[in-house]
Amino acid sequence: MAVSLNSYLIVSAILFSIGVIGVLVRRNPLVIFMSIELMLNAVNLTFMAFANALGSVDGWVFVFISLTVAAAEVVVGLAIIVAIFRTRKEIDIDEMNTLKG
Amino acid sequence: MSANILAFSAVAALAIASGIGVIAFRNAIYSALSLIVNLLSLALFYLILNGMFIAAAQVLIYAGAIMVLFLFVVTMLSSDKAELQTSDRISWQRLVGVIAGIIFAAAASFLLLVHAQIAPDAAAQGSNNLFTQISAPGSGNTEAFGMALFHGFLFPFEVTSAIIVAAILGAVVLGRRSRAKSED
Amino acid sequence: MNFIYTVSNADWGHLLALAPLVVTTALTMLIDIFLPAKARSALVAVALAGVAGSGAGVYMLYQSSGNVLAFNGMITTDHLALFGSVIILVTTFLSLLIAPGYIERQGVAQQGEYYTLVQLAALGMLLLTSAASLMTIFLGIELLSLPLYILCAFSPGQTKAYESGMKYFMLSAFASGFLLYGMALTYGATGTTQLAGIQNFLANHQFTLTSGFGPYFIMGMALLIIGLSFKVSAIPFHAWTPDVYEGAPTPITAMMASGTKTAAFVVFIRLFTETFGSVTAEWQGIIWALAIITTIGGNILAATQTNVKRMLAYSGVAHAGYMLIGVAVANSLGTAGVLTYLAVYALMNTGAFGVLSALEQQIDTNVGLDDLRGLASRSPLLAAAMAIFLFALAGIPGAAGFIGKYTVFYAAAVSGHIELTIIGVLASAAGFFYYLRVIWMMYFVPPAGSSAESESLHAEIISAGGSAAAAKVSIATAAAVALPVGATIALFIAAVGVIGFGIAPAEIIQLARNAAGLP
Repeated sequence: MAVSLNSYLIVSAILFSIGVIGVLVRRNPLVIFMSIELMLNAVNLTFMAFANALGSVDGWVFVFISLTVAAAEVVVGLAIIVAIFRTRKEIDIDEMNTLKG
Repeated sequence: MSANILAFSAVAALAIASGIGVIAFRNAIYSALSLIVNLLSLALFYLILNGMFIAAAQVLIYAGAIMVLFLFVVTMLSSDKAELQTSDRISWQRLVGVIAGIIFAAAASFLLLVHAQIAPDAAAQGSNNLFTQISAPGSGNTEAFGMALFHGFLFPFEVTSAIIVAAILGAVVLGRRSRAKSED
Repeated sequence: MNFIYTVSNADWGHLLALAPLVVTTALTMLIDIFLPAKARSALVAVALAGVAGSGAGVYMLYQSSGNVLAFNGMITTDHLALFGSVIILVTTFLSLLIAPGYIERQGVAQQGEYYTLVQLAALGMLLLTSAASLMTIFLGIELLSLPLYILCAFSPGQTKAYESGMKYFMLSAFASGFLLYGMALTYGATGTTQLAGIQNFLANHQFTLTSGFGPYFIMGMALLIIGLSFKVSAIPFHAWTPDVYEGAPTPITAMMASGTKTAAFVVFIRLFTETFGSVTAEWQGIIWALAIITTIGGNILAATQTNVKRMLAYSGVAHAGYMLIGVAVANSLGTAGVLTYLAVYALMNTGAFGVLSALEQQIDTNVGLDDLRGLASRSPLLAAAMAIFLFALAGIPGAAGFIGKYTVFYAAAVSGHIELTIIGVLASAAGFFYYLRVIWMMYFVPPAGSSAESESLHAEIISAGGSAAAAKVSIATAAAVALPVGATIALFIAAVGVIGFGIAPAEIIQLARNAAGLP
């Protein structure tokens, strides 16, 4: 007996919801970001399940493209996060200098 | 219970447990590690679903490249413990978030369980039903994927290159500036 | 293997509108390497040439006839796409013109990257307007968003800019997740990612909510609405708009406000009015409700702002509401209304942000309402331009904004949604208040520092916080505003366009009707 399409879709819906909860609940930007990745991956599972059930290759290509786009997004997102943490540190250091001066 | 269902249940349990781990761990490193487990379990799903190439790409790109980047940043910033683990949102917001997510999951599962099924003739239309034709016994479905990617889906494939250029520029811009600033 | 789609030369011909910008994007990066740091502002010419070249491409595609679909149904060059492309190109052009002065003022060193990213974002918007497949829609949204995340965080050393970029990134990526999930379920329900195929499928299948492909489709559609509502900043998905608009460099805000909105609304029209046209009953109610909430809420929120950039951001939310009325009407007349609205909105909104960016060249912080006091006596031309744009945004007859509102409200009234017309008219009447307040400040309130009252007001600001910044503001507001050449040209073009379309609207309305498929 094969596993039905809807079982995959439900697993995917649950994973997506976990990601949504993570974004809404956590404050650490890195964890929010990971939760977004979790959401995207849940969607990829939906695509793969449908591609298999429909016998259509669109879903695969979509997953491949969303993988690539996610990689690009991660680069930019992490760069912004790192930049924010860096400037915060610099600001702290500047304040120390003013106090000394 | 057949082997199929057994395998599916095991992987599904692993995926959901590691998914919960991502948002439940207080330490960002544990979150990242459970995200890796989650990505690997999804790769297993893809294998079950006949997507060999995508499963390999998932392991290489996601679990490999992307998560290494994540772990790198997490460890780099973890010296700022105070800032990284800022007080989480006040509890009512947290509650609303959890409730909204659970309602969404329940509604989605319900909708899917009420006799939802794909239309029998849905797959036949469009010029993209390569899968059924090439993945016949004897030729791999990676071939079908490659054929599709470089014929019918050539345009999206080309566009991703522009997106990657934008991402590279972003890393350059955001990374270089703070150095330039600390020089003054 | 005859079932494989092979890309032909004709396909590449459909890229006429995109190709010039691709070339100049690459050229910008290349030339940037060889230029000395001081000559880098010349790069804006390369970018402007690219935009002009793309405009020529759009014109050539407009002249040509025949098959509009290309690359296996991935992109289309129908009149809807071309109309949207023109709006985006004009917005990008104006935004590029006001950029050099602003960049110089802000001391941005990486001009090459700035102009490259602006062009990439413009490419993403163009791609989005011509998308004919869920895949291209997704790629277009990502290609326009990624450069904009970076550009939002571009003001050097400003934590605020980084936080603006970060906020935009997080919420936008979150929304992309919803959008992608919606696409996955729509794909599953209909078996294809091509919009033409989806439309065909829906026309030939009976839709039921609880069985067959219905559950997949209805979930997918709801998620698509959520994802796109984020992009057009419809309430309740608008929370990012004011913060991001405020923190981003003003030329980028101008481009984001009208360019992204144009691209997203063209997708809205293509997906809902066209592709899901046979299941209108299933989505019309949701868009109807979104339109009403956004129209009313946007105007109320805008009225409470004291920062002009935030006020314009919320007014942008309200304008998205008016445009959603055109989508909720769900017919070609509504589409024509939205397109007309988008065209005039691009001119007046970019113009208003252009004036703000000129003002910010004098003031370090964001422009508050008080900074506009007596602008008319200091810089009469700038004040006049701002007044024109604000009158147009308010929708006063004679300026272009009225034409946009008129076509949308007319479409709603004719198509049996008189309640949307009434709400729209009442909301725009209420909206007069905050636009006219700015004009009042510019013309009838004496400049800061000239009366004892304003002195005490500034003293209050100084004691309240940000002492150095507030002191600088009070000095800057006393001086006249010098306009760079580029910004002058941009404001002139926008003002002429706003007045021209306001006086002679027939042409633009006819073009929009053609794009919507009406005679």
